[in-house]
Amino acid sequence: MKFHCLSNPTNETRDVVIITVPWTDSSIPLMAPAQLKPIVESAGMSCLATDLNAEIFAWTTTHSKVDNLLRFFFDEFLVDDVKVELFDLFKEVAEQILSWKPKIVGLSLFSYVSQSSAKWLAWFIKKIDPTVIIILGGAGCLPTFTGPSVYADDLISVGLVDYHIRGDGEHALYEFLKDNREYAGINSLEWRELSKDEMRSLPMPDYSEYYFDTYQKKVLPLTGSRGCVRKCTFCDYIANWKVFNWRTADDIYNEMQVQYQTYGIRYFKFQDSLTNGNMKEFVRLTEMLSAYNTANPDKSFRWSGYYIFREHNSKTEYEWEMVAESGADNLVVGIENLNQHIRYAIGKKFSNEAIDVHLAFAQKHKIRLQLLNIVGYVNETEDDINFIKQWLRDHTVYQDILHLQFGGTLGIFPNTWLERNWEKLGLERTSDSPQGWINREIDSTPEKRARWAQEISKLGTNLGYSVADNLDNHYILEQMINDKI
Amino acid sequence: MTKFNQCKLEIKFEFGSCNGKYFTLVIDDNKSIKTITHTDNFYCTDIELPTQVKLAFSGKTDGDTLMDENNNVVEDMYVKIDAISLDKFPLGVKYIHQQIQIVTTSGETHTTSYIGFNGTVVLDYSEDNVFSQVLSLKN
Repeated sequence: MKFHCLSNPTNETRDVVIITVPWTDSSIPLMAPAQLKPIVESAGMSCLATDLNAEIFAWTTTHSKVDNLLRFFFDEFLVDDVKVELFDLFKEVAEQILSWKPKIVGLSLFSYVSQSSAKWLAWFIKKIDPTVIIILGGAGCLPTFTGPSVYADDLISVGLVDYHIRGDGEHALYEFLKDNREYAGINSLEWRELSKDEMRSLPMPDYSEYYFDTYQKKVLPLTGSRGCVRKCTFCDYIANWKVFNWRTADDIYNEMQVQYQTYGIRYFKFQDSLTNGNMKEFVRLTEMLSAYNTANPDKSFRWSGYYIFREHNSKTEYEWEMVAESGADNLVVGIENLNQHIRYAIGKKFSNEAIDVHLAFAQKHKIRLQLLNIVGYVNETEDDINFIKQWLRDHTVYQDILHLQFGGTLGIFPNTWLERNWEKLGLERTSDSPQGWINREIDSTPEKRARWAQEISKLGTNLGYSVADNLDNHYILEQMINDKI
Repeated sequence: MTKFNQCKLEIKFEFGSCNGKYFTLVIDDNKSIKTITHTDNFYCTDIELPTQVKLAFSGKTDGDTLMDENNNVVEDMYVKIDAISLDKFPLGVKYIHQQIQIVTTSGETHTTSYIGFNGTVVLDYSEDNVFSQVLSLKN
């Protein structure tokens, strides 16, 4: 078992090796190593930065024992008939990483499903060379966006890992490499958000050690902003990224052009929590892309990303034209709830009429929309659920562009507005699960909310909509219905 | 197989006394023999898989378990195996409570991590690498 992305036939050396740790279900590149490679090089060190997850993901999904492999990645459960292959996998990855003779190895964890692999990979690396410094980073180290990482702290305490960098990692990694190991974010709960100027001066991601034949889709990720312009009551992302920082349209456009020239890829996926947070820059970007696409119809750009609806106005029609001509393909919209009064309570103040206007323009321009919904907000009642059902019956004309997600119902997470206003809202905890709460005043229980989510999803499917059918949501809803949450 | 079968075995014990007496515990890892006492109740050794580690418990007599008039134990001489780890990977409570067996000097076998008899516990680590060994005992 050899990994192409780590092969080193001419025995080159690198000061730092950064990899994505399996297992993440992604058909496109994970960008953290590419983002950090130029940071390492700016600190005067050489770096191999590659997306190991992509190769292991591809290997896993075509394996005859895929379910047994996933039991390890998800639950660290070792089934006998894959134990030799998993041992060989970690041994080989560790040996191939160390063939570059790095002083430092960075393990990037995209989600919690990377935790078992990162732990064992660290053990294999340290077993071969205990002098190598291992750094963990990424959202996968954390149970929620805020609070301590018990996982990382445990690995550090037993010596498997040396450092954990959290939050915006670019400046912290740079300082680390310059031997400033007391910098905020290095083995500390507190970290510092990149300023707007720092973000805009970040070097472009370097994908030169990514192998694009590995991916199902030829897509490049791109970050246009961090943080969010909204202050939604349920959101814990804004507890960490308190300020919305964006890059200019010219800067983003330039990156798209340079990456296309370098890699020949013309489809970009924005990784931001929203692409149109700053409307002035967003419209300018769509205008620049529209002009380019019109002038270059045979090599036009396409893009997808998160998008927010606003109240409609006289500019809305033009904005949708630009969105379409700029190459927008698939927009993910956190609409949260189809009831206007609930959206207002959440902090998303656009009307039902505005939704209809946006849907009509999206359909006119053949742009697909994924609508993310939360079922069972703290003030949601049976009447509101009936409104959603009627909305679905009344809007079947948009089935060709809509993909609906109803999720695992409202979870209340630490450091959100909802959690801070727990008592004022009259909520009571019934378990440690984020979904484990009741509102006696309106008789909202986990069991009832789970049934609502199932009913709406079923109705949506029966009406002919495309409705997300995620295994993890099924699991949560069944737990709620069976009174285990 | 470079080093992947080598690890540090650590065992933490709890000793209980009766009449001021404690068990004598001798551990044989095939390379050395070490005596563990109630004042030094932590065992650490380097092992190479696959291997067996033998724990011999002795010194308990009939009078070293005190009962009240209702046959409830009020004082007992015992050793409890609190935790076992390989290279700091804890082997888990399921292993500790459900897979450790003592063969008593009278030939009986009991599955327990609470050792209240004279006898021998054999920790059998039959895998040839730490990864498989830890996970096979964790599952």
